[in-house]
Amino acid sequence: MVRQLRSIAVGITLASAAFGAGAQQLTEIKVSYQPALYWSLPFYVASEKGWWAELGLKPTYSIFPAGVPQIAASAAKSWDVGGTGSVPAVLGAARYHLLTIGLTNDESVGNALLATGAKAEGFIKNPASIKGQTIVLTANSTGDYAVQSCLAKWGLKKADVTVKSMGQAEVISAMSSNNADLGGLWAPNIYTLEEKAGARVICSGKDAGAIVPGALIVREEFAKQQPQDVAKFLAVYLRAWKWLNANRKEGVDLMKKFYEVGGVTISEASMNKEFDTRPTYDLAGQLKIMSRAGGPSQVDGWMGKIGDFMKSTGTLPEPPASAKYITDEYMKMVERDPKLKEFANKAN
Amino acid sequence: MAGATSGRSGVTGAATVAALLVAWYCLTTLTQTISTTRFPAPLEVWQALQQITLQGYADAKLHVHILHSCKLVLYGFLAAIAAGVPLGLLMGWSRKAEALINPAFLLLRPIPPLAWIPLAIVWLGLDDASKVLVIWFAAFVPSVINSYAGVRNIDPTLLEAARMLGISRSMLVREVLVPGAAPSIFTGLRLSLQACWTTLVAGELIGAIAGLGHVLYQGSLDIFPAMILVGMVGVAVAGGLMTKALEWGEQRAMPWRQA
Repeated sequence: MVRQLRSIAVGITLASAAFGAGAQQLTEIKVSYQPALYWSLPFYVASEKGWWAELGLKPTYSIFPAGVPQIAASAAKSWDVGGTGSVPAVLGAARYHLLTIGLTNDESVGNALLATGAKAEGFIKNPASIKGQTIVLTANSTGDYAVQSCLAKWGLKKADVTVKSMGQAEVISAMSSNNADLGGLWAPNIYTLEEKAGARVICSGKDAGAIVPGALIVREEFAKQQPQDVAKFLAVYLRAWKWLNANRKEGVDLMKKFYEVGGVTISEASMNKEFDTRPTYDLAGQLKIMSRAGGPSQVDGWMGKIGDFMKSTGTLPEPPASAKYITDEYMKMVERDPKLKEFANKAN
Repeated sequence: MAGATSGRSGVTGAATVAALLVAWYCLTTLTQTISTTRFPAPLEVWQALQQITLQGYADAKLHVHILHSCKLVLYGFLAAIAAGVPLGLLMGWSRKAEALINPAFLLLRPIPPLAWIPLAIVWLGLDDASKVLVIWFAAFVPSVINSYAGVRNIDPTLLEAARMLGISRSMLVREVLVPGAAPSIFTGLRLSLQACWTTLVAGELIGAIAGLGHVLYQGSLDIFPAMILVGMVGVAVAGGLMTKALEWGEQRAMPWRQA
């Protein structure tokens, strides 16, 4: 509850900061995200720096504890654009025709299977011993996807283990109180469990060869009505990453504030690890991974595998076709507009 | 005459259900007045039912989920009445017992069953035992209260007559207290059973591997309204059947109450 109140408070603060920054007529844009996550940081940075107003936007933030309620809220038009995990992004595409218009980051390392300190070594030495164990995780999440990929890498099936679904806070609680030895988590919850309960990562999505992207999403209706604002939103987001990657120290300071307001306290070393292990994409990078010039794009492939995973869990009877919900149209709009392109590539 | 009334009532009930189904079809499918993203169409629910029955959903098929939930409810319910009914009878019968137990009971009574979930997990882990404990808490209170009230509402002249006849304590309990309090006890059991199902769904939200609550939780994670509806109907049907079974037991236990 305290965490939610803090999140609401930071949302109000961010919106106020953005509102105060510009005297010009600003266009409201409803931005959704999840608090205290690496890929959400650019929203906070952009507000702190007043970059939204520079492009004539006034963001109103909607903050959600997880991807599913965020996606569900799109049906009521609670938000226009935002960032989310790739699993909710595919779910949103299937249920509410949400479009994926870019990637927030590559969080393959930031989604992992962890074991309690006492058991980790045994599982690492003999992964087959995981057979018959109970794994606590948040079902239908990128963490779930990473865990299933790890099991597959070791030749294990989902049926070989007992999966118990719960929220990330409950996963941390269950593992800290020794009620579970194995858990699927995403960063920064991984660092929280490592630092506070001595847990260890025994396999990440990257270790299992699974790319776990984060997605930038937009409601289809909003995209059709205000495409220019969607492009501006992307430009602001891209600039924030440019700046963060060029100004690590100041970025970590802002991250500390942003995470604390979201109720997450991790060490500076873990914050730096976020930067080190989670690649982000600038405008050129986004266009490259989304290009369909030589057939399906890299993003099509990554999200397609997420869709297959969701089909295997029974969530979706058929995953949505990539071409129907993944589009580089808005990134191209940024590329074509000299002002937006320059803005997106600024590192100051 | 009674048979004819019952028959008419059945026809009226069936007609109401049929009218609701037709209205549902018209609103969601024919006219699309209600978007299926908000409320599923009958065909979607049928497909979801087929999926969970034939292929499985949330790690099991429908019958496994129903049986698992029924098992948890039954364990929690039986444990609650095994403890609650004797305790209620004792409190109703003995002023000393009431004075001794009632303060603690009054303290525990207002605590919502769901508030026990975190402690139940700490005490008993993530397995079924913690869920049974939470269900037990929910079912325990109505059992105690109604058994207690049942004894207190027994006609004092009956108790006086029993005492004058000099019957033993065990016979007093067996022949006077229990039969006299039985209608109230069974009311408590029905309330307890209802509380069990209400709590079960919440109990299965965390760390369950099967069960109708687990289906509802997974359905909400998947934003799958049709499957959520299937889970809800499953709870209604399983809960209704168990209530019917309890009514059957009530009629067998109190044949004098049948019209």
